[in-house]
Amino acid sequence: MTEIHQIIINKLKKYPRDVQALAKHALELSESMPASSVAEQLKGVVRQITKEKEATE
Amino acid sequence: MILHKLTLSNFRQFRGFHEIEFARGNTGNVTVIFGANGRGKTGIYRALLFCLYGEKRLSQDAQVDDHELYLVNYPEMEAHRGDKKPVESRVYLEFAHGGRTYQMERSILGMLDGGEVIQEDKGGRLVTRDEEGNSTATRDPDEIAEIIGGILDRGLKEYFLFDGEKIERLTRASSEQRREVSLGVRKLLDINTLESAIQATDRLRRYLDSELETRATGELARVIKQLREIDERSIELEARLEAIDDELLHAGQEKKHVDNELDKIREIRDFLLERTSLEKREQDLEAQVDDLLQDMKNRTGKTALLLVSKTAEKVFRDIDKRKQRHEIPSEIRRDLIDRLISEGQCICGTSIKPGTDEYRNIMLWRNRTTDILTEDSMLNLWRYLSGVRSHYEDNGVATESLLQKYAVVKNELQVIYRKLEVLREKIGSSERADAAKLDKHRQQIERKIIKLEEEQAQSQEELLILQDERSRWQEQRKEIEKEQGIRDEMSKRAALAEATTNALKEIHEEFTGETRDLIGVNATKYFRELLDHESQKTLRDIVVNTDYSIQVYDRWHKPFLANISAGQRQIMSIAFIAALAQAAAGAEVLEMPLFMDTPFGRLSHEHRRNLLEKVPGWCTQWILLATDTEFGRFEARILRGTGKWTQFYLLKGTGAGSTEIKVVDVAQADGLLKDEEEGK
Repeated sequence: MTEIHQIIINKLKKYPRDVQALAKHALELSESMPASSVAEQLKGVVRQITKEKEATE
Repeated sequence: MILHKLTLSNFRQFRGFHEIEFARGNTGNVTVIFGANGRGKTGIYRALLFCLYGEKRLSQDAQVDDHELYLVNYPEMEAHRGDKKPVESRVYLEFAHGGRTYQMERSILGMLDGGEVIQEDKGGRLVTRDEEGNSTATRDPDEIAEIIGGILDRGLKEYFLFDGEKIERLTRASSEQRREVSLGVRKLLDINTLESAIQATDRLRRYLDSELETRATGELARVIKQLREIDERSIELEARLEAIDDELLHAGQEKKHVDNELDKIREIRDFLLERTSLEKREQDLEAQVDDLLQDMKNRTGKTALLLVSKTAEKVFRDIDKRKQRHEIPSEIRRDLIDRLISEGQCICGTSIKPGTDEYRNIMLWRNRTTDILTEDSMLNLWRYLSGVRSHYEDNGVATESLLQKYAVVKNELQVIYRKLEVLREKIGSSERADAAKLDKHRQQIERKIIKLEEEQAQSQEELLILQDERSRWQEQRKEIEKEQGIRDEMSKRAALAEATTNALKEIHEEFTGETRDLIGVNATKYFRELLDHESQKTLRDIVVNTDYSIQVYDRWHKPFLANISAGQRQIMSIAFIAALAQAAAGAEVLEMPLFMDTPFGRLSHEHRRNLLEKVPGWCTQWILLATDTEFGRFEARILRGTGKWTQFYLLKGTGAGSTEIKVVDVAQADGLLKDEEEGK
C-alpha cells in the first residue's frame, strides 16, 4: 500500500485548512526524521501557520 | 514475488545437490512437495527463509539451543571428520518480482569437532537482472536485506510463507494472537510515518501547553495543569502497558523453556504430558467461559424479561380481554359521556336524569371507559406484550441451554483445576531436586503472569477513565478561554496543535478500521467458500475486532470462536491469511507465493476438497508441503481437477538421516499415494 500518503492527504481534506497544513508538514518531516526532531521543526511551522491565518482573518 | 527454482547442497538432511523447479504461470501454479513426517518438509521451508533472510531459526526452534541447531548436513560432516575439512552448505533461490529476476545464494560452513558442531556463516550474494538483461550483484548484508525486504517485508513474510504452528497461533484467543494480527495489519498498512507524525504533533501540543501554563492564571492555569497531569499519567500508563505486553511475552517464553527442561526429566515426563494437555484444555474452557459470559451479557435484556414473564402474561391477558370486549379503545370518549350527563340529555334527545334506567345505563358505560392517556398506554402495552410473549419460549430455551452449557464448562474446569493441583504436587514433590526446583520456578512464572494480566486490565481501565476525564477538562478549558476572551497567539498555536493531533489520530483510527473491515469481509468470503456444508449452517462471519482479536460469529450474530472445531479453526486461519494477502495486493492480483507447510492436519475431507479447489485460483503460486497422512489419492484427484497442478516432488529417505528430492510426474503421483479409503 504505497499510496498510503495520498490516502491520508485525501482524508485530511475534511479538516480546516490550518489543520491540513500542519498535518502535511508533520507527515512530510516524519518520513525522514524521528518524532522528537519533527516536533522541534513544527514549532516554527505552527507559528507561521497561525500568523498567516490571523493575517487573512 | 514468483519463485522459480530452489537448490540445496548439503543443507540439513539433504545430502549432496538437490533441485526444485516451482510451478508458475497460467498453465499451472501448484507445486506439491510430498513426504512422510521427518523427511524434511520443514527443511525446505527453513531453506527458503535462510536463503531470503539469513534466518537460521523458525518459531518452532524457540527452545532449541544454538549448538543443537545445525544447518549443514550431519552425515556429510561425519564423513569429513577425519580430514578436518569443513563442509559447505548452500541454498540458492531464483525468483522474479516486478519484471526483474533475482538470484539469491547463501552458504554456511560446518564441521565436527569432537561431539560439537562448529558452523560459520559465509554470508550471501544477490544478483539482480533487470528487464533489459543488465545485472548487478551485491554481497552487502544491509543492501541484500533492503532489497529482499522491499519485495517481501520480513514482518509480513510469515503470512505468505507459513507453517502449521502459525495457523495454530492465529486461532488462539490470546494476547499473542492479537499481537500477531496487529503486526500483520500494521505492516500491511505501512503506517509508521502517520504514527510518527501523531507523536510529533502531540509533543508539540504538550510543549505549547507547558508554555501556556507558565503564563496562565486562576482557573485556566488550574485546568491546564490538570490536563498536563492527565497527559503525563496517560503516557506513563501507555508505556507501562507496552512493557507489560513484553513482560507477558517473555514470561510465556520462559514458561515454555522451563517446560522443556522439565520434559527432559523422564521420571516425571508422563505427569508433564498430562499437565500440558490439561492446561491446554483449561485454556480452551476458560475461553469458552468468557464467550458464554459474553453471550449471556448480550442476552441480559431479553432474559431479564423472563423474570417477569408470568406477570407480563397476566397483564397481557387482562388487557386483551378488555380489548376483546371493545372496552379499549372505547367506542365513545369519556369526556363526551361526562358532558351528556352534565347536560342531562343524550345525543338522541332522551332525558338522562339520576334514578332513571337511562341514567344507570350511561353511568355503567362511563365506568367502563377510561381516559385517553391510560387507554393509549394500555394499547401500547398490549402491542409490546403481544410482541415479546412470542419470544418467551425461544428465550427460555436459549437461556436454559446457555446456563446448562456454562454449568457443564464450569464443572469441567473445576475438575481440571483439582487434577492440575494434584499433578503439580506430584511434580513438585518429585525425588528429583532439579524437577522440584524447576516446578517452583514455573509456579513463580505463572503467578507473575496472573499479576501482570491483572495490572494490564487495571491500567487499560484507568487509561479509559483518563481519556474521558481529559475530554471533560478540555471542554472546560475551551469554555474558560471563550469567557475570558483568551485567544492570544500562543493559545491559538496550542489549539491548532491539539486539533491536528486529534485529526491525525482520527485518520489513523479510520484507516486501520477500514482495513480491519476489509480483511474481515474478505476473510468471511474465503471462509464461506472453504467451509463444509455442515459448518455453513452455523458459522457466518469473521470479524477483526478493534483489539485485533479475531472472532467468528454464528448465524444469529453471536460470538462462536470457543465452540468451533480444530478443523474449522484452521480453515478460519487460512481464510484470514488469504484475506491479509488480498489486502496487501490492493486492487491488483497478488504476485506472491503462498507457501504452506503441512496445513491439512486437522481438516475434514470436505474442507480439504474446498481448499484444494479454491486456493489455486486465489493466488499466483501455491507451494504445498504435505505429509502422506494429509495428501492421498483423493486430494491428488481434486487438485488435478483444477488443471493447475504441474509439479510434484517426493522427499525420499535414503537412510542414515538423509533425504533426497525426487521429481515425479503428476500423472504418476497416485502410485506413491495412499488410496481414498486409506486416506479417510
